[in-house]
Amino acid sequence: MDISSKRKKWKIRHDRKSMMLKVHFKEKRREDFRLGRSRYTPSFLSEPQGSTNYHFLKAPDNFSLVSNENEVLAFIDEINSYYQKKEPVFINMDTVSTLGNGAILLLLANMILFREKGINFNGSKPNNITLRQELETSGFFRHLYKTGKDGMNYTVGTPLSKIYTHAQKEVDTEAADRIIEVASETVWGEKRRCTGVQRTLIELMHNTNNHAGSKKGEKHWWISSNRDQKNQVATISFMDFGMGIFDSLNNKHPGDLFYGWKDLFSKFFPWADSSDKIMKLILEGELHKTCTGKSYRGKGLPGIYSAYKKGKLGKLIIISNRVYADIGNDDFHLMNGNLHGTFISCEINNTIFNLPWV
Amino acid sequence: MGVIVSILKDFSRIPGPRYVSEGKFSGEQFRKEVLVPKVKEAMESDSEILIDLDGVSGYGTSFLEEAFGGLIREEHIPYEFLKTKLKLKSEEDPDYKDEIWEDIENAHKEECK
Repeated sequence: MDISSKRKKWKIRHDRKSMMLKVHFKEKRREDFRLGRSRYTPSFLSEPQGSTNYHFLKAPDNFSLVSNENEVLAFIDEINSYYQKKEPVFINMDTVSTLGNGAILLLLANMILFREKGINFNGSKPNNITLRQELETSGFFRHLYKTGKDGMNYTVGTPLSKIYTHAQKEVDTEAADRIIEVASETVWGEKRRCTGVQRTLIELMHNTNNHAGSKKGEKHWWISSNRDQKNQVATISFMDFGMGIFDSLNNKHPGDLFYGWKDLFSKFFPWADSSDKIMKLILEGELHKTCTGKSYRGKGLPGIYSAYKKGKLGKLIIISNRVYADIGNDDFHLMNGNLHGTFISCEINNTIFNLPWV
Repeated sequence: MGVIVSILKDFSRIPGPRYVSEGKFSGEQFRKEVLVPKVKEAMESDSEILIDLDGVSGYGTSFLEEAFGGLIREEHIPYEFLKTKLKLKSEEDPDYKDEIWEDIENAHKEECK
């Protein structure tokens, strides 16, 4: 055996050994980190920045705002409490078995809030292979720290990803149209227009732009689209982290048509003594009629409700402040927690009103 | 038919918010750049004006209100002219026609106050 082949063999053995040691120590460091024995931070959701004295928080196994609203809101409140204290958090998503669009939006928005304040936000990916793959292919992790620092627009994934998330402040009908274009292909196998869904998204973006913050255009809206090829359904979730429907109404100033709405409303609807009962009346346009004396057919939330009633969008769920409303099942109830903002989810399925693509 | 306006062909496939400051393809922009010149053209020739609403991705309520309610509120186009000469075509979703007339009626009522 000549020297060069000896050297080659030695190099192969050496590389193999190095690799094994590298993997071994990486696993050990991860294990130490999980057990809190090390300050080393593995790259889970994102690369760590700065000091990493994380507070470890376990995400709910059913991490869905629609089907597990109380636990998810309590979890988000816990994250917020650390945000207020400017302390880093580590989200343990190992055992997450259900991951809803709303939860993704909440998680992503919180990550960005933390990042904008320079606070570390990290976590583990779900053990569930399907969920993990969905998140990975959506670009969720990859794009997390690639977005701009000024925080105007965020896009995670592309409209073609199974999960696509977009955040912006202006009313962007092009983004809504693009989401519907891709979603409709999942549902009908070809591009179709869904004017009711388009209207819903415009109304929601408009509400966020006009009413979510203390001044116009202050707050982001977030859209996430999740396409289920197998069942030919696309779920569109919309969220803003403004005041929420009820806090926004309660915050009206003298001179505003809705100032003192509660007193006026209670005269006409004395039985509507809680927010969940009032929500139904708001959707039916009664609040606007009571406060302004005008009919309010088709505008804002009543417009979305009306589009749903006319079959122009499917499965409508609205969550805002302490109210949970599953419109199709006539389930209006108060939650234990408070969503500081508004979340709306609707479906594009093959039964809703649709038109040929133009 | 005298003057014809197609929102799809003359303005946008994706109509936007109420005001220019809120986003692209707003009702305010449509009113100022497309609708008012065409309405004035119809007024001058005393002909009807047909607005074709079909073919777009969908309308927000504010877009329609600002465009058509704004004709009375901002542009002071006579209500009687609109009542007699404005024709709307919305075969895809007839609801839009009712909404627009409601917006025009409301703007007229406000102006009469």
